[in-house]
Amino acid sequence: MTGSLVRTLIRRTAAGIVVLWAVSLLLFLAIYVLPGDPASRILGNRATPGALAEMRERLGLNRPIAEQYLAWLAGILRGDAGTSTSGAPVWPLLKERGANSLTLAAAASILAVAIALVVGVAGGLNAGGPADSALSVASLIGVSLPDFVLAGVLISVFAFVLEWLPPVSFLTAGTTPFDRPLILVLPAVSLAAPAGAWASRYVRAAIVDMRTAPNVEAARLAGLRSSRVLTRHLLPGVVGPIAQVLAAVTAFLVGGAVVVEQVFAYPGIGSLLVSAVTVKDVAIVLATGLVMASTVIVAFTAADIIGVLTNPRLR
Amino acid sequence: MTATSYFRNDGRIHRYLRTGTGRVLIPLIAVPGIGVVALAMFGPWLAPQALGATVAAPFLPPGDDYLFGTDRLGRDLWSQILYGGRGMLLVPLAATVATVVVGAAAGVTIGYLRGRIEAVTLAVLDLLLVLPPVLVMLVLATGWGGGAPVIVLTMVLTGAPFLARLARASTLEVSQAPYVQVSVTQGDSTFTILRREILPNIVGPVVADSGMRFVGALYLVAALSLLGFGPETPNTNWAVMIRENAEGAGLNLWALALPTTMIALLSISANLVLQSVADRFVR
Repeated sequence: MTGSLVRTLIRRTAAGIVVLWAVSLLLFLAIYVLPGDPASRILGNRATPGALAEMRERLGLNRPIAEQYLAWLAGILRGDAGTSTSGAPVWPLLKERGANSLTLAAAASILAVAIALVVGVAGGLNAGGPADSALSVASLIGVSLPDFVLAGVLISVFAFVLEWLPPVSFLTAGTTPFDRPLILVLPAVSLAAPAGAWASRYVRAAIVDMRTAPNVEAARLAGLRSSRVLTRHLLPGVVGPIAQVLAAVTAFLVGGAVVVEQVFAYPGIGSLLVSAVTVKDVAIVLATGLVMASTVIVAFTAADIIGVLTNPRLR
Repeated sequence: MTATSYFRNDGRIHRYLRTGTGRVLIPLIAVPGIGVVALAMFGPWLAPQALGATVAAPFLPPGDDYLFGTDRLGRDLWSQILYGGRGMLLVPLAATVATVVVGAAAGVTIGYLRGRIEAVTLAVLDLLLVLPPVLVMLVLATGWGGGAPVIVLTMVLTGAPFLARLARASTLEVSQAPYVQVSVTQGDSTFTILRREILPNIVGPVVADSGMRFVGALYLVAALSLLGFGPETPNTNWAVMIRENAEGAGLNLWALALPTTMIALLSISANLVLQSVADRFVR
């Protein structure tokens, strides 16, 4: 029994690693085949044919693509993400921006999970009632409202009309979000509300499904108190599906962070990617892209493993 | 793979929506929605000023000459709104059509052929499903600098896998049906069977899903423009207007509020209307 469980877990983890590797290859190939030559970008208008050839040689652009990919991958695994077009190493930048994004993402996901669970469980337990209808309508509108629109509304109300919170969330050099936690509020809400609203609909559906499951029915018929039915029989059954939804929320937040960080001028991975795309800084695009994709893959793999652990049939 | 088990649960959302709570709201949302769509489509013919023409000082508040005042470059804001809607509709529409065609064709093909092609294609689809669309879009924009082709390709790469899975599942189901087996034993060509027996049966789920792809494409168009990779001046769209006019919101609030409202209305009504259309098709 435990042997097969361990085997399943190893298999799922290995599958996650394979996907991670495939994404790294895909990302590298995409940047490689798309138009634009890093050497001419770095040199700009100093690009004489001689200087170009020299720069291409120095960057290793004349080597076969397989060799370039392996060199890049080996670098990433060693904690060396190459140098940006400005000549600065990418890794320290990535760490600093990554920490900022992680802080924002943590705040946003706590909020999103809270919204998803409260709205989803409340709706699911009262399925069909007026509270459920009201929550459903609210969540449907929450899903439909793009994050940047919500950000705009929040900035207008809380920064300009009420003047409670800052309209932009930039950080001066050497400070972290923890020095000014208030700057996190509006970006975190902008990110979390659509994600939480979206996830709440799945949570609600999972609860509604589980309410009619045989073991829950049996517990209820046996006369157990409803709070006990909820915590001992209903919630454990929905942990797996909800973990999957939360993994999708992570994907949602990673994508949304790009736009929201940019709107608030917050120095995270997303805004780093946007500025790198603007100046076509390939090393940074590759590194940030890999970080973002890995985050999503790790989340899905973790959800998969949680699903296996909580559902004996999947072992 | 990891994402698969999650996306297999997709039926839940449709079952949930059929409970009818969302439908009460639809006329309330659809009417302003239809208004926004009409403005977007016919706007360029109604605009009082020429596209991109500077007519007055920047960020003037609303007045007699200019309904909603002027924008960053002193252009008539209302005219710019009327010009900026078409791209918000047509680019997502083109992206959705391309996504549906590619996804459905791939799904039907692998569902009918089965075998190794199917296994390999499914693995690639699963890989694409985990990639955040915004990331794919920005990687493509690194090479191409933005524009409609980047949106269309992003949607095909990240949206077609949904449709392909759906079309494949429907094809698998239909291809076992007796009437298709009759067609096979009659010696009909594969193409004839696909066109006459299988295609009509997968139209419903495909139409249902394509609505959600349109909503996704709408967000991508707005996001790409907002991040600075939108259409070049004088061409514009509502997201470009948000980006350009945010700095002058204190002088003419409409310059920011009007394009934001247009996108919000379009997005909310598209979501609700297309979801309810989707409900009709899903059993």
